Amino acid sequence: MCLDAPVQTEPLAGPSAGAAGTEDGSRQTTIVLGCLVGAVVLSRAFGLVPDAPALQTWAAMFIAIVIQSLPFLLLGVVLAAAISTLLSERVIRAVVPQNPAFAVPVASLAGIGLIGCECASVPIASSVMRKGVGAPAAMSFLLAAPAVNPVVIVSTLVAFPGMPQMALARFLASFAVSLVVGWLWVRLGREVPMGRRSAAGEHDHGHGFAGFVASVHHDLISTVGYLVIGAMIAAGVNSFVPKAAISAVASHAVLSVLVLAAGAFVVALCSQTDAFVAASLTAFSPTARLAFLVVGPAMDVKLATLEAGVFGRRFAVRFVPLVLVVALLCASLVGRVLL
Amino acid sequence: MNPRTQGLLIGLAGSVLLRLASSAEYLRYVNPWMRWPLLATAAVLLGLGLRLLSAPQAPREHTGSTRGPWSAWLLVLPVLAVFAVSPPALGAYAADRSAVKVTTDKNYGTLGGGPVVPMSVSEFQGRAQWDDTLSGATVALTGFVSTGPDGAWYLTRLAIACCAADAVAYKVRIEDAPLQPPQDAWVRVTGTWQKPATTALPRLDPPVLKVTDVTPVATPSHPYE
Repeated sequence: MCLDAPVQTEPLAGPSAGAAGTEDGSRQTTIVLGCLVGAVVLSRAFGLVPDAPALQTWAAMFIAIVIQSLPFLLLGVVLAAAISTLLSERVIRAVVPQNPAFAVPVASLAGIGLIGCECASVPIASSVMRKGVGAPAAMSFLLAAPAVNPVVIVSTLVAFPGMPQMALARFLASFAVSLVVGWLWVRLGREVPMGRRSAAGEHDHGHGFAGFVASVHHDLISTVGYLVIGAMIAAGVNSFVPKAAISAVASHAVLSVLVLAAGAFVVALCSQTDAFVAASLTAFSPTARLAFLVVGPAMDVKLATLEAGVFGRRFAVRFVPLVLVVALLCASLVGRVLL
Repeated sequence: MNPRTQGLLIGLAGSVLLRLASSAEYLRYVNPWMRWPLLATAAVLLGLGLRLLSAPQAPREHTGSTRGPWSAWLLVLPVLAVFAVSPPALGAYAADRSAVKVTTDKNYGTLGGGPVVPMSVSEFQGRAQWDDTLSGATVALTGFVSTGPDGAWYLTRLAIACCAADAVAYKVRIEDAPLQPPQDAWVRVTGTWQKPATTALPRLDPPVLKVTDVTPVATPSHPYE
């Protein structure tokens, strides 16, 4: 999730040259700490915490989703950092065949082994393209990597205990999306101009342990906010939205799928944690929740912005709707068969 | 947000997990097996936070790119929610909004012996939905009080699959109680099942328990079934 990539990740061992910068930094940290401590002390001392049951319920569900997701987010971030330090994109280029029609499934399979957040896969796709891998294979990789890797599958299994078919359906539907879009791009994508600007998110964190830590820091700080937003919204749906409104939408087969797919696009959750949000939307059908899990990692508002920036606007206006339609169809079909 | 403040927020997030998982408090929100993943995550977050806090600031020429994404500021919300609000486990409000859970057809077998059979609320509801094994037996159930629209009260227990956000409610309608405890109070009731007239299985209305005894109990440390 490197939407606005300027996150400080320079190795933190550099000499402290700017005294003014250091003072600014310390002041901000002190102010934030002071405000937090003050808020906690005041609310405890004067009982400022609202005890309305709806708010308490919201807070409990919000905390539940955040703390259930954090270990999985961290696991994904740590594994992604380990892989990016160990595996260079030259290796990927070496295993991808020249024939684009064969390269597509190979790239999709490569996505299984590469654990990373969605937006980490955008710069990877862009850089392997620059090194000679065809655009269709790069697109397949871009769609497969965040959706079918082991961390995502395990978190889906954990989020839906007793329902392993949800993880299977998610894997199959997401894999199908990456194959279908890749092959469609082989046939249709030639005329689409693709900018190959060096991505702002194309980050190099350096080598060794410092690089590893910098990568964990970067990925964590740029994803964790989206997790908090998703948890706030899911807890809000479960505690504030009138029951009648939810069941009206959830009982409508087509509408419920469209609403959750739109939700996945807007909320832009990290694929390692979205299963926990989907699991909490208990009023909705399994197929609607599958659509949430398949659409989100393939395309959402932050990916669309990122891809427009990296590959160009003219590419994005074709690619984004194509992915959304294919993802909706795959999720609905697989959901009908498996769930 | 500069790297030090990022370190502060990451470290605070770690201390949130440490606080929750070092007591039974985390059981209000997640399943028991999450304790060790939470503690491990807390250790990594605290380590990363301290490293960022103690590192010297980046040189001036780099400070143009030191601002993290605005969304990272949202990390203060879970910190405040745990340290300032510290909400209790879900109760009657959440149970009211939850759908009635239809247990999948299970063969519960014959009832245990003894004059009073203690039982989970989910098992009671499952037996009442699918078979007649409860007939004539005196059972003891523990749960919290929620009230229905008609003024009747229910002994309720929430069950979570993954975390508290996906809780579903098991409810038993209480009749003939000598007293009605307040909403959300935890009680242990003893009574007998009233078999409904309906013959269709599963029986979807909440099962009815005619109780002889209602005893207030402390909130259990593991509030979900």
